[in-house]
Amino acid sequence: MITFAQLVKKASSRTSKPRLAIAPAQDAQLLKLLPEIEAIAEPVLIGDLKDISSILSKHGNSLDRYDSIDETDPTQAILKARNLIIQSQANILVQGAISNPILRDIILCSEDGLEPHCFLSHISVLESRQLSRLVLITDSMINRKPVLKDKISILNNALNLTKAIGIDKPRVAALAALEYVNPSIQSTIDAAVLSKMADRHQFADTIVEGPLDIDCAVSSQAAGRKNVSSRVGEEVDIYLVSDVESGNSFAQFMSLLGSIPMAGIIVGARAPIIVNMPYITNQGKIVEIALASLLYHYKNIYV
Amino acid sequence: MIKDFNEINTLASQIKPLSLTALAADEEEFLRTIKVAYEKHYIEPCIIGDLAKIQKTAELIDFNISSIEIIHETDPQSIADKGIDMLFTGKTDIPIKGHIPTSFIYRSIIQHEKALGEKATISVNTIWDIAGANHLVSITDTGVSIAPSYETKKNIITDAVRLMNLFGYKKPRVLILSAYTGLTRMLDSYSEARTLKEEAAQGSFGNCEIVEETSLAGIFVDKDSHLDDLEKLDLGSIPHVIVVPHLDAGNILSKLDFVLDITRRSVVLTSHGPVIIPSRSDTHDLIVGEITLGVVIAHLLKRLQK
Repeated sequence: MITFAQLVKKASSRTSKPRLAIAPAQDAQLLKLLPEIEAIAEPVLIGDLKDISSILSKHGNSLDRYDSIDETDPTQAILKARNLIIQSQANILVQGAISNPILRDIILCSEDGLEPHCFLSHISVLESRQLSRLVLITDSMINRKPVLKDKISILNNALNLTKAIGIDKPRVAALAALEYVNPSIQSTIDAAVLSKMADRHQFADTIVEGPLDIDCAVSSQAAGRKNVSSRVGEEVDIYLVSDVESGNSFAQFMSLLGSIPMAGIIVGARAPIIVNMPYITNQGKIVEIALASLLYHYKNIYV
Repeated sequence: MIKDFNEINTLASQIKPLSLTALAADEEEFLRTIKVAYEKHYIEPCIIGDLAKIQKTAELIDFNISSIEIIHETDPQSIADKGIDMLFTGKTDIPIKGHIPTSFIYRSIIQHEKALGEKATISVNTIWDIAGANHLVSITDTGVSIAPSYETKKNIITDAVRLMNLFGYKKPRVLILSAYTGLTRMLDSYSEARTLKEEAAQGSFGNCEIVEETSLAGIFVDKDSHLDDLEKLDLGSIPHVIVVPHLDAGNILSKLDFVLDITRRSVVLTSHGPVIIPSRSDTHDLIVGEITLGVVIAHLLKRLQK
């Protein structure tokens, strides 16, 4: 199986490094991790430089070593980071010490944000020893009630990431509450359509099986007892969930109850976006930057 | 307070066998389950279903059913109606779903509840025994409401609290799940959680506390800090009841036992007792466990009524 360590190694081995706009950068976790981040990307620190310098010195580091922009107002800091991305002076956006609603309003939902013509979605990536593979769960944070058209975009976003990290022929489980189509449950209908689209090669080589309920998606024995013949077997790379409520709790429960290392990334914008979530460990944060870097390099889709 | 399924199993083996009615027990794996539970003296079974099929399957698994009451019926809705009627008239303690679609049973329970003016909705509580948690956790509703309204959520919470009270949890802590992180526009699940918390504080759902957090992560890590080590989480801090926003989420979460170190048993708690609803993918070991859960619930309800 592909491991997080391999992804970090792969991202670190690239000779050209993406520029990482961190804003507001006065975030203790991020600043502490800068030496490890530097192996993957070139940080640009945007924020209150006095605070940033103070935190860095506590970790035996120095602000002088980094490109930086002084901006004491957190909202202005994130706006400056956005501008760097739009001007191609930075390639990845990292949320620092700013609230999620402000990030949403400036970056995710603004006309002049980072998604004017794109479709954003969040992908949780778990290194699951239990399932013997790297597992992607999407969308786990952005889209409240995605319709079929949105789910196609969510799936395509995830497929870009799988290819960037080296999964060539990803297998997708389009999850629903039932393993058969129930006209009263929209997720079962959407999953069936996506599966048929994949049969017609509308997602290249990808196998999409759906609708599947979770037991059929993770256990061949369970699928057998339900008389479900699934082409993804127990080798699912992407769990495409019906909406953010399912995705968010699925990812969190897997990681927290199963001690499964997790990282996450917002994709589909002009640049990969890394958000600041309390349940992401230091290791997870490094993996997030590695994922963003690999995605940036993948066929230069962000160039 | 019943802390885990070992205690459930022990209690089930100590009490007098209770009456269990199997709804459509003509499938081999399921009938084997009834046989095992009968031989372990958890239950005195009655079977409703196709007599010829039941006899044939019983022969296949070497199950002597000569002393067991069998009610011949082939129509799935009639099977469900007869079994649920037996529960509501006190002729059985525990109906259990066999080889028929769940919807027939839900429909029958709802009709019986409505006829008595008891409850307008029902819910499935999936009980988890999580390694390291040191208490049981109910995930609800994992089977009935596709997209529960606010009023339905109130009934779901009331049912779950009643169940956990029965297990000896005097004031269960309740987590109302929501995916709202501030990165989306407001989610109904989040605003409803706030209002439900206020209602719980006024005692609307029995003796319980709805916690401030709306995610599992929020239970383990403060929003202004970062998680240090996944291996060092205090699983004992998981609330006793977790209310899911809708069926899609409930189905995923309730069956994470296929991946994680969790044991699962599911039950519908009606006004007249438990109804066991095994998943079609469950093996007979798991279903025997679900039967012991039903036995203990029925036993505790009888004790409460005395």
